[in-house]
Amino acid sequence: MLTIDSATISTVGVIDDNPEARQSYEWTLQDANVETIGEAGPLGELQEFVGRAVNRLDAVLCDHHLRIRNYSTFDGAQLAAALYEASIPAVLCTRWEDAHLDLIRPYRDRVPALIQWEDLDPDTFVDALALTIREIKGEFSEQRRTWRTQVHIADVGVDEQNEFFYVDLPGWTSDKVIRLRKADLGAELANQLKVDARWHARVNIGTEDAWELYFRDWEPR
Amino acid sequence: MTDHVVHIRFAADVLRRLGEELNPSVDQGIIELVKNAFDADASKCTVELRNVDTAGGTVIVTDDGQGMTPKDIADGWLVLGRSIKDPSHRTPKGRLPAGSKGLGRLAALRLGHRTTLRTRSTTGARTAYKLEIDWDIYDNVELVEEVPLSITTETPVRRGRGTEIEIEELRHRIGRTDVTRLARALVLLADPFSDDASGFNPLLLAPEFDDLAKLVEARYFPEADYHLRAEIDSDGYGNVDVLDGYDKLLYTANHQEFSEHPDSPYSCPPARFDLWVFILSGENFRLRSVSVREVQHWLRNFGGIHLYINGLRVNPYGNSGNDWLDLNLSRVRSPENRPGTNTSIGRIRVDDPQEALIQKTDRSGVIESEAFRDLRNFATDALEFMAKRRQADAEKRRQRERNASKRTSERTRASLAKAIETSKTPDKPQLQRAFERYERATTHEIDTLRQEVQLYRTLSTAGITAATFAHESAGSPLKVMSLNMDTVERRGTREFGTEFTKVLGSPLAAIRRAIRSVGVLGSVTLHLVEADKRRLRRVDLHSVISEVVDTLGPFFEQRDVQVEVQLGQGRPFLRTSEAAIESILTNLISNSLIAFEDVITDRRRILIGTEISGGNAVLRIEDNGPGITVPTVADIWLPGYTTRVHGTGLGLTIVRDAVHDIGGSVEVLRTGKLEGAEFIISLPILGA
Repeated sequence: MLTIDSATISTVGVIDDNPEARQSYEWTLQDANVETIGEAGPLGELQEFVGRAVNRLDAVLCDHHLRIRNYSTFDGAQLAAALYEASIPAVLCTRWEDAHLDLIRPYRDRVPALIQWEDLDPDTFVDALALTIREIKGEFSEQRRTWRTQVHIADVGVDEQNEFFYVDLPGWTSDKVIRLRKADLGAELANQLKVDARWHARVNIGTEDAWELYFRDWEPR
Repeated sequence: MTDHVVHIRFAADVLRRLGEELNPSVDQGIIELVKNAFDADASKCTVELRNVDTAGGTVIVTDDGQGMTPKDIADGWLVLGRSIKDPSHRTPKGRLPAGSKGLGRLAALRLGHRTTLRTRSTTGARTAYKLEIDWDIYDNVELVEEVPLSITTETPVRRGRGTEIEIEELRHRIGRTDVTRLARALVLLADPFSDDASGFNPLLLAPEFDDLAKLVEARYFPEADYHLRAEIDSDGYGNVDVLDGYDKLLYTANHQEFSEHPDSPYSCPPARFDLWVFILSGENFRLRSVSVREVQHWLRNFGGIHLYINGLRVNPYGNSGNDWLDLNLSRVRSPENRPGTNTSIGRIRVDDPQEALIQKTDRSGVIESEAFRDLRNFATDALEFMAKRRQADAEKRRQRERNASKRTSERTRASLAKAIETSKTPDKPQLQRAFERYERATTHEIDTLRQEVQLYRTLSTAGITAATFAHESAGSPLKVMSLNMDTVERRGTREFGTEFTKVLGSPLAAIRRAIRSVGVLGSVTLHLVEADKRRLRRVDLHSVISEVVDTLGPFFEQRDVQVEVQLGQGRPFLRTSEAAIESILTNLISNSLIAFEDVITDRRRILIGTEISGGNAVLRIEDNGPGITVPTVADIWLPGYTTRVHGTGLGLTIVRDAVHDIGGSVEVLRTGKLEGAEFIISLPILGA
């Protein structure tokens, strides 16, 4: 059993569509002194699963890719965000490429901790869990706190599927271009995107890593 | 017990704020007054601009509609935020009122310092009424209600019914751009393309309007090569037809066949979508009575897809620069079969008595509701249907052309062979031999090309398969291995202390290195096929070099290769795609790695260097392998040319083509400074 900021964590649910990976995660977490429950799946509807997790699990560790086997119809980032909304701390653990980050970033406002499985050990898990628990209580770290900042629209819809737009943040570092999905803005805002426009949004510009950035409360101009 | 009865009251400043903030542009303000005329069943509405090129001018809007009684003025025209019009009931002329909240009208009326309304209603035909508003008075009072307004009776200044609004002492000038925009908005307001016109004719007394009005009457619809016709019925189910230039039905589909969601109806009011698509080539217009330029000019002015709700056009859909159905972006992806705003004109007409589509108060479009989204989905689905069918036809046509060209080639060959056969020339045997040699060479060339195409297809399939299954093939097993390695090490150390590390530390470290190497392949595959890398943009050459070297690092380690990177000063950048630079680097580095397999060296080295020379970045990749050993150096660039048993022979061809596409040049030295091959690539840069 763990106690983090007066929260007691004794049972952690482990979500991965591969049974062997699930078991491997469980062994790692058991070394952090918690009991684990590997969720065998299929997980069913997202909100149903979250409902079943309340009062049964104190925390969750989940992989992002859950759809490959007949296991889930939602991704790990979606699940972690829904659990966060239900005040169940969830740590997302996955190896990602930029293409995966496009799908994870929209949920990052509710997924405080994203770790690569190469970096997962009992200590990193506890740290990630602590970060999430504190955020659920409303305590944000400098790296996660959002600020209203200017967002420069560098490019719009020049990819094959017209799916993305590209932004840079003059208040952060202007030479990094971040790719975002138009779909995550909603049709009304997406239709207002114009190259070189300067919008505002709340962004966690305290982070140093582009993959950690998340955006919310867009203000078009 | 009630002590005091009080009311919410409005400061006079509210009028100024509403007027300024809800008036996105002069033309849209005036259009609001013209829409009032439409609602009043007018058949004509004239907008006159007097001395407007400087501030202080006058705008007069006159209509021949129903006019107003003093009650209409007091209970409707002067009430802001509510319209006395009932949008679910039609006017005597069968129009659905535009349903203005009166706020747009306020915005327009406040364009000047003074406004005068003169109106004569049908019911009081012998009497006209006049109302004057001096907006400056409102600037000096606290509350709106403090300013009394009087409706006076006067002898009509002109015959017949109708309303005249005179806005005097304009606060700002109305420039030429505004006038042109107003003229276009008026010309397009009441669907001038329709055969069943509403009988409403707005008119602007300005030369800009006359020119555009004449142009809009040109109606080049019969010149269209395709006419898309789609409808949604009152239950939300749609259908789509596509006709050719002779009105012959080419393709048709019902809801199930063209909708993205075949089982659900569109949640929007009944609508009709018409789109006329033109193939604007000189060849296509050669035998027509109009020139391609005339149609291009017409489309430049009116092209795009306009939205008409209850008979009136809604701004800004179809305006220049407003591509609300993403026609142009789709066209970029498939220019052959998709229309753009410069090659098509269309309109979507919606009958919406229940006001499912609500226009924004500032008249900047329709609120993004489910109804509007579904209307857009309907139009996009219809466009997608047409594009797919046209693409399928184009494929069939290409197949026919391929077959026809094969037949033509066979016929030509037979006729040439016969000509030689029947020839009486003494050179006949030489001719026959030459012809046979030519035939063999041609067959060989065709076979080579076929093999090359097949090789590209096979490699693409290998790449697609590797990327699709990268997660399963590498991700999960690697994760299991890595996590369990950690667990074994952690638990082993805990149980057996330093003895565990002493006995098993080295083998475990070896396994860990192996896991890392295996993992790289999956990462590299996904990394290389990343869509974003194919985007044309400003690319920092040094960043790409560092990233490629970093990504391939485990391969270098595995093959005992030492890579030295010597980047020149500055940060050269060029306009290209990251994928192009990566293709050059990855293929040349792979080439070096493979070359090392043929020699034993003390220390395998690859040197990657850059320098700026003139307007170019010079990139050198050299190694201390065996160098270029083939007899003719130029052969290494040939597609399919390889000295390895299982080589593809495509790597260097891709390098050559990628460099060429960027506008650069590439040369190779058989032996460079390191005694192995040296590739020197010169790339034009935008700066450094």
